[in-house]
Amino acid sequence: MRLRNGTTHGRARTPAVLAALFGCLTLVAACGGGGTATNTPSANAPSAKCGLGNGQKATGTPLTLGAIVTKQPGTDFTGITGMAQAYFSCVNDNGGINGRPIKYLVESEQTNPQQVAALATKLVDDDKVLALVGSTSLIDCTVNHQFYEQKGFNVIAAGVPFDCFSTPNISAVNMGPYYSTTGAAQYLVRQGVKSMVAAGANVPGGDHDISGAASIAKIAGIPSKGAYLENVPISDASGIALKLVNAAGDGGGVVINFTPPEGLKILQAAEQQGLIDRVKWAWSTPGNDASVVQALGPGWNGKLGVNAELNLVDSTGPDNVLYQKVTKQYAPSIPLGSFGQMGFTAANVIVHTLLAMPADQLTAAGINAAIRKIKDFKTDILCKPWYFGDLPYHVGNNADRTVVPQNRAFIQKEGCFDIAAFPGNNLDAIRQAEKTQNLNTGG
Amino acid sequence: MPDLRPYLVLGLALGGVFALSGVGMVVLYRATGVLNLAYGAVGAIGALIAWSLINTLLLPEWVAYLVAILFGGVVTLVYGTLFGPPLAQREPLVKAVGTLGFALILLGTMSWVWSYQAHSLILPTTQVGFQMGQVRVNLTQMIGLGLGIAITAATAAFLRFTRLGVAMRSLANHRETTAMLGVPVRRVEAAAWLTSGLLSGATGLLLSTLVGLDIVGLTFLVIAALSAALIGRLQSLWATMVAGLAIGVVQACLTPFDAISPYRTMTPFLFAIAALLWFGIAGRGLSRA
Repeated sequence: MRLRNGTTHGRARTPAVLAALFGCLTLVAACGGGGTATNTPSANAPSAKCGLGNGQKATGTPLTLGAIVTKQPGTDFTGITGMAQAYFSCVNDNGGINGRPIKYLVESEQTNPQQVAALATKLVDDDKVLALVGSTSLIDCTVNHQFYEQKGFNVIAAGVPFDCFSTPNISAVNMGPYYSTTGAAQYLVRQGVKSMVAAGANVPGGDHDISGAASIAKIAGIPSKGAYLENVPISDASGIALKLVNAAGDGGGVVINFTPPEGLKILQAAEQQGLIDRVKWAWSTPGNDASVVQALGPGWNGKLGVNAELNLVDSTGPDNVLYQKVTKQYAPSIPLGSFGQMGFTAANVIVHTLLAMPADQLTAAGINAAIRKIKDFKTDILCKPWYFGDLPYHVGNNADRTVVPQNRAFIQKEGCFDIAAFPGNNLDAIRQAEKTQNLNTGG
Repeated sequence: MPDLRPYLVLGLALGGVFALSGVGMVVLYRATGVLNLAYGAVGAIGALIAWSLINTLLLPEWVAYLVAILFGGVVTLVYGTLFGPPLAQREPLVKAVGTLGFALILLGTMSWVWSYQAHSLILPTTQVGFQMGQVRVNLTQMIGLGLGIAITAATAAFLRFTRLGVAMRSLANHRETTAMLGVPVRRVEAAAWLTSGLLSGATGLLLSTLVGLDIVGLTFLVIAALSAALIGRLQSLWATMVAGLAIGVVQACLTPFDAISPYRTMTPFLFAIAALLWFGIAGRGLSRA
């Protein structure tokens, strides 16, 4: 009532004002989705399809899958679950899982352990999800891995903390920030840097995520000049860029581990201050993102090595071409990038697993048993076939590439290489198991 | 002891924009009694609109920047026109919470429209600059600092020497009396909302270059501006400007000190707490006297 009484004078103008506001918001909505790269797939590439690929909408009883994803200021992984959802939508429009659609329940969290524990309980006990696929959280693996072990759930994740790669019931399609930062540091060593500095987000497990850079420096016999954790969202990127370059010294190497928006701030600040050429730069997988490379100017051509856990976003293998198509049709607001590829790959793995199962086995117990038996899953998005395997820890994706920006697109600088094995990172034992159990050798 | 000179330069540039934001908030507060917590969100959405106009509609950059600034003015004016009068007699806290709701609506809109992507908006003035020791000083940084000082001086003169300015000053504390004296209250308030909005649009563009085009980051950089405004007691434009600069400089100069660097983002809060404690102690001393 106060509003009406108080605005008598302005009431006549209100419709016009609302119309103007609506017009502004429409303009905003119309403009917002642009700017992503759309690379034309090769006409000669063999084609992959969503599930059965029969063009018929699935109408049977839904198969419910779930995921937990971090979404908070400075850390937003919902592009991963969003892409998994997009792929499931495509599968549902193409026959589903032998006629049954996939229902995907995604719960977002804000790194509150109680909240994350409750969400896992909700999904598993209340929502009765049959499997957890595409979860990408800063703390889910740490908080819930024992719960998943008790419940017999084998989680196909896009992992972040080390617990996603060092516990028995979680296997990620990516290698996570720890191994990716290690791979980025390996690239810098091959570039002949004289020292090593690492920086990452001040989030749970952030210190471990960037610790591999110091290990690589030690192996290479060069000094590690510091590992810095920065609060996100970053508000003073210029100072951070200057600090990192000064710490590394001329000819040193700086490896960063941030989400695309935060890492981009540091690189652009470095460019504005003329710091690009004082050191060599590397970024873990999140940097392999179309929106990042389009924002980087020509000053960065060939001067930033991004460790790519997954293939180039414009590569022309069948799965990546399908990924591009699904993005365009079902999730145009999600940029082409590693995060999207992770969600797509996790969804692709579970769909192929479900399609291969007899209908009477499509229960939580049956599906999670089948997940554990996944091996030799071939996709052009990864360097090597992926597997889950019956192992005490899982790093199925342990070889990757290095890409560099070139005229606002990424090109491959280095082909697939193994992430270095050293004490404490389990890779020696994992590669041994791959051989003895024929997990990714086609045996 | 690390060389602080480059951080001083970076801090002055950042502080200049904090000062500009703080001054925009103080101007509005002095005229309407509203502490506009949506100041950063308005600037952020304006910058994102500019980004879209440049990258999607391929409009000339200057057109996009103009639209961003005008958008800031118009959307703030619309809020002020719709919600200013009915909230005019309410407590300052209620008015501030109203703008917080507005900020959250804008934040949600931005997350809905522009989420997922890394965005970048680098003003062309950034290409122009000169080397000063280890750091390159660019024109955008100089504009950030210079605009902060210029707007402060111009606004102070405007409020002191023009009829509209005097009317604005009288409005915040004596709204009814001012209206009875024949001052067109709605028009004066609208001018204040529009001015503050235009400043938020310009600030958003500068911050998108100096800090990064980040939805959450830009929205909540209002906290640093709010601290500066509090130190100016929401009255003094010059004190607000100096406080904004000081916050920027101190935060930047803490960066190279490893032991305390992780805590440097607390700088605005520490300044605000220190100022409030000082005002409290000084006020108690005055009342005893």
